Amino acid sequence: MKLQSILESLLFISNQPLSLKDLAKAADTDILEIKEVLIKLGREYQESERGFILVNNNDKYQLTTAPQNADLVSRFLKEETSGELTPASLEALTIIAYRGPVTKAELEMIRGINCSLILRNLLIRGLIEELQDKTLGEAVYSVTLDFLKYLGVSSLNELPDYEKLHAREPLKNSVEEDDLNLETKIN
Amino acid sequence: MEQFTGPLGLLLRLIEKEELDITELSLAKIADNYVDYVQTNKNIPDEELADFLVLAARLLYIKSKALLPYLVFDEIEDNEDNLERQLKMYQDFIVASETLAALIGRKKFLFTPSALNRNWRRRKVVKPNFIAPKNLTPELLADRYEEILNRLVAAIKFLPEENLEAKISIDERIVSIRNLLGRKLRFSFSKFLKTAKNRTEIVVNFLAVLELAKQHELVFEQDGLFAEIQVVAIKQ
Repeated sequence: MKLQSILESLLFISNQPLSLKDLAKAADTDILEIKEVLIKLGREYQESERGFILVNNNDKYQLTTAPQNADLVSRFLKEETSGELTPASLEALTIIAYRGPVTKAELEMIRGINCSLILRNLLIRGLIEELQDKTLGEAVYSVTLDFLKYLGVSSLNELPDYEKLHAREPLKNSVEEDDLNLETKIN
Repeated sequence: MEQFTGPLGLLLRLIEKEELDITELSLAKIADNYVDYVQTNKNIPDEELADFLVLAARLLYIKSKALLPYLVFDEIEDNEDNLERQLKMYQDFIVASETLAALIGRKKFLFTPSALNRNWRRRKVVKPNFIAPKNLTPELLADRYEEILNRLVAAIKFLPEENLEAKISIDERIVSIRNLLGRKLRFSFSKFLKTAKNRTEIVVNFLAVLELAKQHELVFEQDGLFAEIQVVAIKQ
C-alpha cells in the first residue's frame, strides 16, 4: 500500500512519462514489484471512473485526464485537438501500433512500399519513436505514449484485435491449412 | 478510382472492385488490370514507381504460373514470396487502420499537465547561445571544403562506365510484326527468331508473337511434331 502511494505521488508530480527504471530508482524498489502495483493502480482508476487514468506504453507510465472528459478539458485548455493524418501515415501507424516494435524492413514488407519518408514524418510529429534493438542490431519503431493519448486508450492492449494482429508469426489461415492436411491424408 | 496508399493498396482496390477473394487465381486474373493501371496512371509519384513495378513483376510471375501450370517452379522461393498471404495480412491492417481512425475520430484525447503548462504559462524559451570553437578559423573551413571536393572528384573518377544498349520494347515489336503480317500474311517462326540480335530480343520477339496470338491477330500452324512453325495472320 505504501509503494502504491509513493508511485502515485511520483506520477502525479511528473509532467512527462516515467519509465519503470525511473520509478524503480526513485522508489528504491524492484522493477517487477513496481509493474505489478502500477497494473493494479491503472485498473483501480478505470474501475472507479476517476478523472484521470494511468497510460502505459513501452514500460513508460503517465497520468492523463480520462477520455470521457476530453471535450470539456480541451475546451478548458483551448487546445487545438485536430491534426489530420494522411491515409498512408495512418496505415503505417496502425502497423507500428499493432506489430511494434518493428524494423523498417518488416514495415515495408507488410506495406509493400518504401517507408523512409513516412517514418521520418511520424518521428518528427512525435507519434512514433526509434530504438536500437541490440539483438537485431537494427533500429526498431514503436508508437509513443503521446500517440496513445491521441487515441484515447490507456495501453495498446485495448486496441481491437490486438492479440491477433500482434502475433509475431506471419498471419495464417488455419482453416485452409487443416483442409490441406485432410486432402493429403485422403490422397 | 479512390486514392490508394501504395502498390498493395491499389491491388486490394482492384480485387475488391472485381468482387474477387484474395486467392492465387484472382491475383493471376487481376495482373493485367494492375499493369494497365500502373501504366496509365500519372499520379504515382516517381519515387514510388519502383515499388509498384516490383509488384507488377510478382503478379506477372503468378499469372505465368497459372497459365503454364506444368512448369516446375522453385517451391522454396514460392513460400517465402507468398503474395496471397502478404495481401491478406495487409488487408487485416487496413481494417485495423479504419478502427484506429474511428478511435481518433472520437476525439477522446488524454491530456497531461504538460499541456496545461504549455498553454497557461508559456515556458521560458532558452535561446541557444553561439559559442565558437576555439580552433575554428576561416582557413580551416577552406581546407576542409577542399578536402571534401577532392574526395568527390576521386569518387567520380572511379565510376565505372558502361554503354547503354539500345533496347527494343514488346510494344514496338508488336507494331513491326503487325506490319510484317500485313505484307506477307505468313512467316516462319524460327526464321523470325533468328533475326534477333541478342538474347533480350529473342525474348521480346517471343512475347510479342504470343501477345498477338492472344489478341487473335495471328495463329500458329504446324504440320507435324517438330515441323516448322508458321505464323499466320488472321484476316480481319
